[in-house]
Amino acid sequence: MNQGLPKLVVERLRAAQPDAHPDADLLTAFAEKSLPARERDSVLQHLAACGDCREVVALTAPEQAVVPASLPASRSWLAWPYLRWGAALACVVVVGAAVTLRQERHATQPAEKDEEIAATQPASSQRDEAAPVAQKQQVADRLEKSEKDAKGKVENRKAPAVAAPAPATRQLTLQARNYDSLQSLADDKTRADSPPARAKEQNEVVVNGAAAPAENKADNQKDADQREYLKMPPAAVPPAAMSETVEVTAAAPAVQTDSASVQKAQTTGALVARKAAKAPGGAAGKMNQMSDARAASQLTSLDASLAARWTLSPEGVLQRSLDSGTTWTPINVSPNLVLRAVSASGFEVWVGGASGALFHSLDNGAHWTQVQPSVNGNTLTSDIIGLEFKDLAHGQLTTADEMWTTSDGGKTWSRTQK
Amino acid sequence: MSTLTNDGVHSEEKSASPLESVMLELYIRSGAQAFGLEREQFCAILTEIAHKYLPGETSPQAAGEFCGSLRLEELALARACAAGSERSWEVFLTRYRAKLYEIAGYIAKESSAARELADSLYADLYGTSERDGKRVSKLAFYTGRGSLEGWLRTVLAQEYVNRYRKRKRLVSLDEEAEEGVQFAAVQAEATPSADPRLDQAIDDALKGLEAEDKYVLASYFLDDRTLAEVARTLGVHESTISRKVDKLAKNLRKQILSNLTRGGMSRRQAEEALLTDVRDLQVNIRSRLVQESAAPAFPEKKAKASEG
Repeated sequence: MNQGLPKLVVERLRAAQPDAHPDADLLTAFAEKSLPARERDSVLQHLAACGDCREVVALTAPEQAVVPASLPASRSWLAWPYLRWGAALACVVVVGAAVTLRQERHATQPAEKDEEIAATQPASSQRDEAAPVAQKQQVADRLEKSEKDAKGKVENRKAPAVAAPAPATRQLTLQARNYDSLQSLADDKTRADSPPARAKEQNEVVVNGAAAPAENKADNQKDADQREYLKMPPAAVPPAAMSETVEVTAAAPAVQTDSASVQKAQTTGALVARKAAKAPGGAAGKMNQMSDARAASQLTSLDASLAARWTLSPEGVLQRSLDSGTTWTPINVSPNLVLRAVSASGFEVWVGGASGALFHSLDNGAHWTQVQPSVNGNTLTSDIIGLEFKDLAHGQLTTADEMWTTSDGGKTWSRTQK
Repeated sequence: MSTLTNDGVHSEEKSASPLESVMLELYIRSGAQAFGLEREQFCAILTEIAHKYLPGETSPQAAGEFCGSLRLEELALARACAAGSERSWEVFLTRYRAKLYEIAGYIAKESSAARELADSLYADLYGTSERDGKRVSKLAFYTGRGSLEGWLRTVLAQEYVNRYRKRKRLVSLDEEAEEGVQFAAVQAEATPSADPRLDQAIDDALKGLEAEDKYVLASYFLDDRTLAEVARTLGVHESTISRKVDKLAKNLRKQILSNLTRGGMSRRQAEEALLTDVRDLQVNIRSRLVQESAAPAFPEKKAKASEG
């Protein structure tokens, strides 16, 4: 409980006379923590004596507590949250290894497996000795499942499907295979080049974190349609109306762009693999390459709780949060680019900014493709101030005096005056 | 171009070139041309802002760095709107109109008051008033030290606080009668304590505090803000403010007692002086005197004496 101050002290504090009020710009910079130390001190001296300015500052303070952006990076590895998750991870790994060993031994030596189960579950050993072997397997499975629920998803083909709670927005995810290490990622590059049919066979569609439960059949059909859309050859369109596509890679490689998500991916055994397709000459050729690249790519498998949120800072920098807005990471789309509009749906993100700059990502911001909308040879050069994409195909962008619309995911555009 | 140093013309010529190239780069970075601002106009704006916030002897390099730290694009937009560029005004509306009403709603809480607040600022931003035949827009005062959205929030908050203060002074007689304000005691000014050494000791102790510490004490004890609210204004965690308030209260008390004992009081005298509020004593005496004079003694005898 806080100590109070003697009344006399409070009265002397109240009696202090403030000097000239700082202007609105200084108060704003103070509220945004962008004042140098000397000026901040001067503003604080005034605020200590002026109740009206304190009231203004209280009204302009951010609505929720600000967590300094550098805080996660500066946390020591010995800080409690890391120890806690590290301990949980260690438990999961130990239990997973134990279960795997038990299953292997069960296949060859059933008698030894019974003793191991009895050793690991001393409290229920008397019960287990009397229970049939099938029930012992169920106990081992329940133990594994409870550990998974405590930690989150653990990718394991042999483990039973774990039903995650239905998120507010549904996500289409392609579940990657269980990689032991990053080395397998390099080996998997050749597998990433496989034709779409093989990719479809290798990949398992997970909807809402479960393996296509019965009640999500309608959603599955829509997912299948959307995946089919991705593999569709481009429609024949007049060359004049096609938009040019230039594929650019983000400044840092995918595994380094967001260290937090990479760590989580490693702990869950899923990794990102994406083939960067180089577009040959010709718009149609470019479209084909993009479709194949999309179909063959393996997206990061993220838990429903890691759905990204997007925002733009007042300086026009794109920011992403993977923890429901607690912390934000700046995403470098392109150097010296001032962005003014963002539209995201699942892993697909569109951003637009000054001078008609329009970028598109299909993998949660790891890689970006620049799209240059054009109609009858006239490319968009005005500032983009609004973006809205309802789904993969349909969207519109707004400039000060025009509206550009697409119904094929940005391949072709139409333009109307406002 | 005006100089930011007080040396002679010679140094003005020397310093013009590096500053000019910096200004040109800033002009390009701001995109002011797209908003219809000429390079000279924009450079004049930057120079005016640098003069306002920097001391006179600032070097051109420091001035250039300061100007580079401003929100250039937002500054160009705001000043172009103030200069009357309709295109800029459209961009401003697209970006900030909805936010303006949202911020007003957060500040005023009540929807009609929020709308009134936002509408009045909207008119000031557009420039409905005129001076010397020229439209005067509030956006001409934006200097880019903070974001334009933050500036709008601050200006709205200032307007709200001003209105609330005016409303407090102009309370209607009906409201006074209902709430019994006319019967309330006149708010006493800060009366000095019985011992002047006590006031001096407290003032000296408060002077020795850091500005941030005084701000925390004022917000917590004078404004009755919660720890969370104070923490939010400083961008720290609530527990930090809780520990700070505890520590400050303890240390302040120690410092005041130390000042008093250095001024000649004994420890016990100092503690008693600090804990005893003389005004409480005065109020008690006043209430006792009023009570004693309510019923006069021997009313029959007095009546007979007056008849006789």
